[in-house]
Amino acid sequence: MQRVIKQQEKDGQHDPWQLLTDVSADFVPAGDTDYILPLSAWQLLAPEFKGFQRIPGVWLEADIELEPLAEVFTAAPLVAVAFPAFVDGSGFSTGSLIREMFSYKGELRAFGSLLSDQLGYLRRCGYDSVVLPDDQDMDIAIQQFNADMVSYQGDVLQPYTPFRRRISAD
Amino acid sequence: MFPFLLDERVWICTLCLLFFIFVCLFLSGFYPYSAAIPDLPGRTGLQLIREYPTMYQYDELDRQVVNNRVQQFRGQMNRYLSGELSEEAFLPLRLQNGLYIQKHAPMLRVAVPYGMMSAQQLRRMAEVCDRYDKGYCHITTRQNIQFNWVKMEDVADILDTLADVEMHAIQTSGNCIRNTTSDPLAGVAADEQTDPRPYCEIIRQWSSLHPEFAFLPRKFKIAVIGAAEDRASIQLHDVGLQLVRNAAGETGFKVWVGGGLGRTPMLATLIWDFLPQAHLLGYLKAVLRVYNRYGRRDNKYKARIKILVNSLGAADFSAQVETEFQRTNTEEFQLTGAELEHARSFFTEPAYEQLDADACSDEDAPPAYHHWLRRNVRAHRVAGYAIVTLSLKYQGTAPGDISSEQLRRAADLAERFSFAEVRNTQQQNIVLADVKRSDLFALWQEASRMELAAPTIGTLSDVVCCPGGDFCGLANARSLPINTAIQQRFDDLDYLYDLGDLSLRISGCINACAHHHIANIGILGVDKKGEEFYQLTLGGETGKRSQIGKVLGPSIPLDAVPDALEAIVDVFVEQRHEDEPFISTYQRIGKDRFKERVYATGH
Repeated sequence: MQRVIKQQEKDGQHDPWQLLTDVSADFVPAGDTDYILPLSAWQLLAPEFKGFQRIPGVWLEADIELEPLAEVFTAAPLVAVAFPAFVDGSGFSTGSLIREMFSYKGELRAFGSLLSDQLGYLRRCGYDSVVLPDDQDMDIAIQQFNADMVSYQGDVLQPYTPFRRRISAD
Repeated sequence: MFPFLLDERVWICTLCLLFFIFVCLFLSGFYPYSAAIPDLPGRTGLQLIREYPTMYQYDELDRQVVNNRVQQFRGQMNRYLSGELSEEAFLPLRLQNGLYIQKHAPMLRVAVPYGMMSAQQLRRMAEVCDRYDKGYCHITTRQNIQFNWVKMEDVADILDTLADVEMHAIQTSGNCIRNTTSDPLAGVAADEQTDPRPYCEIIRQWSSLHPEFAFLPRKFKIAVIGAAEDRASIQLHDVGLQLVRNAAGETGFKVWVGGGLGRTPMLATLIWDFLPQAHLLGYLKAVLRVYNRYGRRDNKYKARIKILVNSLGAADFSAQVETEFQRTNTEEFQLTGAELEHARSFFTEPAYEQLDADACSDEDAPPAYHHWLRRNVRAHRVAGYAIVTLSLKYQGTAPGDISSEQLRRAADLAERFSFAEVRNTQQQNIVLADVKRSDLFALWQEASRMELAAPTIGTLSDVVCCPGGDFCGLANARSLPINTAIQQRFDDLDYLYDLGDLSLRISGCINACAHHHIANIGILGVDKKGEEFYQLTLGGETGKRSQIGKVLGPSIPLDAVPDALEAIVDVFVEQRHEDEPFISTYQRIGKDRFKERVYATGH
């Protein structure tokens, strides 16, 4: 059972999404399941998504070109970004860009190789759910993801320059 | 006996009265620096009274950010020590906090933002040396401080002790944005157009714990200058910024990207000749974003931004950055006039006195003092003041090493002579930036007593050197014995002075911590089948212009290095025109004659 951490929610919650790493040509969606599809399959099935109970989510590699994907970000209710290794932080920029450049309002999810100590940064880059790898500490992850830490930059949804708020408070 | 003392009303009244007297004293200018600080619109005088007139001082947010990080790191360290956190997972987390595992012990690198330290901070460094290390520490070529003998279980306590004096070790190593470096003469150099320190401080804050850029392909270094001469080697940084004014009199930056040393040394390319200052952070974000998304991660030696700039070509790279900059540079990322003014308010001019420019009381002083004046003292932009370099290149010690006793005495000197602050330099020395000329003799006497007055700044024996194989786990060869051999070979001061300005730098491995590529004579330790060998480069320079040195020939064994150096110096002396510096002779005659002489002896 995968462990999904969401903002402001306690563990044990139900996550409706099922991520498919690849989709065969004869795939038939189950009527009661919400899927996250690989980008190519998602694009192939768009915009009708025949047989799906709702528009599926989509997952992408962290280093993919984002410019051609404007339509995906308009339609998909969930975008999941794959982190290939916890030392590879390209997904932090990818998440920020999806929020900043496309004003994406749906659920943004991180999955793959991640450390529970990275969840604070993930949230500040616009991710609102994370699939936590089995070997990572759940308590630390939840605490990091929800910690209301002061910072010099804010987050991608409410960015600011370091001194902006401090001098206007005078 | 005194029953009225038991009445709490009496106590409250007494305390109120004492507080009132204290506030009156404070407001009446009792505080020594308050008079020198101008009032800014929208701020009261009280907020501007600061302990150090020319340094950034933390506010509540800075304190919270640093304390939160220390707490978080303490937790990570505890989890590591108890086995909950794997070696592999702990690695990037500890590196982001300046902690390396070295040959003999862990090494903790403490950030010294743009090299500036207060006397109080120097004393705290001394305490850390005595309590947690072996009584000394090391000043690095990026203006930071390293402790080479700390214990893992002490690190979180050391970080707490640093936080008390507004210091930290955040992002002093690892694949993230490192400490921003700058001109050690910022604010006092005659050739300065704009003080770079307010911008350095803004970059320090913006880059600290930035959520997007903590796991980059490789380390990322930024340097800022505001003067004509480049005393921070900005073209050897991932991003180099030079403050300039445009024709309309507005302030902005020339932006260079893609410099670096290491295995593939490269000078940075100019990608924008006028970035308006308000857009500084938006543009840095765009550069880092392009790098974070497209920089190589498959090969550590090809992961720096210089490789990306080189493979895309500067034009293509800057076009990508420009696109990214234009589409996400919204108002939230722009610096307002009030913010810039606030940042500048920390770096006000100290309370200089009106002095006679020629005031000197040292005509009868010994020749050694006059040597020191010539090599270690520089002109200041304010009449009657001078810039003094305390040398950390005393014979018999490792370059850049400083003992706790010397740290304390340097703090005393800073307080007595230079507005209680110092700057660490890229050449691993310490600058006192605001010394009255009339105090120079007294300062020299004190500095000599504590072995901080070696009169050799800028000469061949002002060697820049990494800790090398004696300490560092990455090194291929030792660098300190080379330094010792050179110090012994070239110990005649008159000869050193005759040779004039000549930079020499020694790196123990290709990571090039001593920046050997930009030295007139560079020495690089290499491993040849388990033996320590050394490769020589000639013709590097930094300052008025930047140049990467050329490899002279095959590497040579340790014991051949002093002779090889002597051969190089001999060729220089023979070929030199009048008093020209080494670099000019080298550029005039090329490397062949040096090469012939060095390899003539059969290496």
